[in-house]
Amino acid sequence: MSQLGFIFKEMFFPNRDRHAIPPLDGAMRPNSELDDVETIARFDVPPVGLTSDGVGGVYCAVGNVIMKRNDAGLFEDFEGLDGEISALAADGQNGLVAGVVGKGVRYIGGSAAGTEWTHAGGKSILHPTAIGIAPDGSIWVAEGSQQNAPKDIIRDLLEHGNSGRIIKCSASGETKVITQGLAYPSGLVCQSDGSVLVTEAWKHRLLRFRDDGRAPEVVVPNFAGYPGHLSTGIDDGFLLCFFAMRTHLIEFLLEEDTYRKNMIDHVPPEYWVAPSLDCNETLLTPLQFGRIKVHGETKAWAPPRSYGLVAHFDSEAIATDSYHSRTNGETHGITSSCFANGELLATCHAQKSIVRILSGQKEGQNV
Amino acid sequence: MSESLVELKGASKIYEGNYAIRNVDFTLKHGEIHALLGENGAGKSTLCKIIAGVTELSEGELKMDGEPAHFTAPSQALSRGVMMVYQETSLVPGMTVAQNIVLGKENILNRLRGLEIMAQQLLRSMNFYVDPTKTVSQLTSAQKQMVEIARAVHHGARIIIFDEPTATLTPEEKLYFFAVVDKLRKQGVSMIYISHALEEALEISDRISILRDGELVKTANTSDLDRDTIVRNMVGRDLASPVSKSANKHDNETAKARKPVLKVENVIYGNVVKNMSFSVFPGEITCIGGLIGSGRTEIAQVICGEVKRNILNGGMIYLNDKPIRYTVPAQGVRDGIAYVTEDRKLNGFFETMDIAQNIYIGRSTTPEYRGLRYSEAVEETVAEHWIKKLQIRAIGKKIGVKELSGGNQQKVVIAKSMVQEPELIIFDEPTRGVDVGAIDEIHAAIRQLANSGVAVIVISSYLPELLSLGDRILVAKQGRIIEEFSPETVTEEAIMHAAIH
Repeated sequence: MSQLGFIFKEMFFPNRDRHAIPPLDGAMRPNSELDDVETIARFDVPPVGLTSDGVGGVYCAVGNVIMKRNDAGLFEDFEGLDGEISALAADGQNGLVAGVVGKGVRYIGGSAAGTEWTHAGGKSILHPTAIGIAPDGSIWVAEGSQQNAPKDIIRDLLEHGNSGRIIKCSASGETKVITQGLAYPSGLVCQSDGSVLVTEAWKHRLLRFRDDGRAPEVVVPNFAGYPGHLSTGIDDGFLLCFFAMRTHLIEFLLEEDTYRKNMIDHVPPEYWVAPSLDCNETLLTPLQFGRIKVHGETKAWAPPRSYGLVAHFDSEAIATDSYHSRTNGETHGITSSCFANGELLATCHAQKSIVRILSGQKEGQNV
Repeated sequence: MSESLVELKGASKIYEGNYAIRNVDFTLKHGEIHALLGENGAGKSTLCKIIAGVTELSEGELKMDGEPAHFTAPSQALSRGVMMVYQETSLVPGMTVAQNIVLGKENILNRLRGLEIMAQQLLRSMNFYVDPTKTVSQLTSAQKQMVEIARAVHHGARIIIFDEPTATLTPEEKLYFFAVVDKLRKQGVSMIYISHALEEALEISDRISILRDGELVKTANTSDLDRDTIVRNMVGRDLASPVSKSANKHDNETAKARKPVLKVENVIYGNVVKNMSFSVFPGEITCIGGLIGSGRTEIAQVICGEVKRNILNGGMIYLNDKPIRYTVPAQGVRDGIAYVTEDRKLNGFFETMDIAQNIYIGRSTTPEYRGLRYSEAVEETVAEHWIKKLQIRAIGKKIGVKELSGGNQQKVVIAKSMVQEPELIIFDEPTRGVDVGAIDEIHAAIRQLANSGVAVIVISSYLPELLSLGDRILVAKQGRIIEEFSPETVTEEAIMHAAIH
């Protein structure tokens, strides 16, 4: 944006929406509840796509393998696939829908086992990030980006990626592109009224789609973080994970095209000025001129490079509860979460683990 | 040489037929710090003004060095080495620090450079880092206080009377101040110390006198007193705590998921407020703590329209989701924003008008009452209502507000804003220079206001106030809101840690 253009806008449209980072307050007030959670499973690679089938089964994907939680509460191998699994959904009738990086979306188990969707709108479905199963049995798929695989999510942010798509797949194997050109749709959940909620990560917003050809409705225009995985919540609400938080530094960086391009071209990705899903700090991690540490201790309120946040929203998309792991915590990079049997579980990218945030009915009802 | 430097015997002062102090016996010994405590209007200031020669005794006698003394003007007292450092500083704002220091004792012809060098030496010798070439209007209140003290030392004061010296100081500056006081004591200077901060009085004083309703209740060595005894003697009854905690708390839990009244988004104002963001919810008291200079007052002034945020990149302020940008405070008042200033003497009220007139002026700014109509009857009923509600105590009904004590002045300022029936009200340091009893009453009034659904912002440096009053505590640092605490779990240390680091 040229300086003149900026001044023109400031002068003549002073009341335009700036899309500023909203403060975390009200029900989103930071706490340290994610730091006091119980780790129930740990893996060699970060788990993703935690999902519950609503009848007691809990699944997640670790690399190429789908894991299922057994009666003892441990996760064991359920099914191995031929590629990295990036999204998972359960239909409640022993069927699972898995998104495989580079290979599309397929049904595993259940009555529709073997059904596969690999193309939509003349292009391959390369990088599915979220899957939802609608009440009518159709499968909704969010494809984050055409260019960048889910593990290169940060690169997509820095490249201003906007090649995400929402695809509706029918049981007969047909696909329909509902919309394209989204800035990384990273979460998707089907509501009981037939509508579909989608998070658009790089625009920090929540959209509601219906398969009626109309433009989506913006449900929440502005989040304080990058919204990721969505799942069904309590009383028609939904659970939303934020895999990283916005900071002024990153917002600024995203406006500085030349700098950013040079950084991407010349600096190794681990040293980019960028949000991160990991919190294992090396000596070389930027500490932003001492704003992060004081007396050797990390300040909880320092601008977060990585963060852990799961929030529950009610049916009107107003936050009711939130669970945080702040800059000084370690349960960072929450990639998915779900309610299962009264428990609230989440996958943590930084710790490569699955954690139990709430256990039992008592607390579950408070949510 | 007699043991006591100053002695008051049976001292009384009568204003308009009312006793401001009555039959007070008071002594000040050599090299002691004598703390004078009492509620607003108890007569502390009057007592000091008599010693400093500002007013004369109506009855009784004043002795200095064992001999009867009679001062008719402060200059006479000054010549005997009595100097008063006022709560609202009495420096000349347009003159430089150096000029102010010598003022009253200057030569007919002065060489500025020489003055400045002298002032610099004096200030540095007391560890005060104030530029002597600056004009006083450019200084912060702490720096003004330092200049006042330097002035007293320069004038060779043997007795320095401090009226609320620490009210405007930051915690760090307070430590400085105490060090200076200690140094002066070692040099043999006697000090009378008026304060509402009981902890401070207990910390630095040698003896404590407590006044209530113009009468001396107790004089004792500090080591024989504790906080509770002092409060009991001051107020004449037991207070639960300085600021009763549970009574002021919000009682409904429904306030959780709701819409903010005010949203502040990345507001930038000069280099004082930088990227400040927060929201304020209805029916809640949002407290903003932090050090002085962290942009707390400035953001309040930006919100109410007293100052304007940056035109370019100034950020957004939304009142009920409607973007606002005021050029004058009247627009803010029209939209239902009231601001209770921290500097009540300068911006808070019309000091020569009486209570009723001040409150009526507040009322006449609101859209419903605008116009040229003036009704004495309405003025009287409105004033009566608020005087009763806030328990404003005055010696006479028709006296100017400047005659009232600090706490009652503050109540007038609050009434003047509350009468506008605002939707959002900002209190900036609501209890600065206000005594324990009045703090309780002001807090109760603020809580009542919040319970009626008004969104309240309280800016305060007094940590117990933040803890007892706030439903949410925000901490500002270097122009940003850096942290939000919940009053149930937070400690004073945690707030200070956030405010400093």
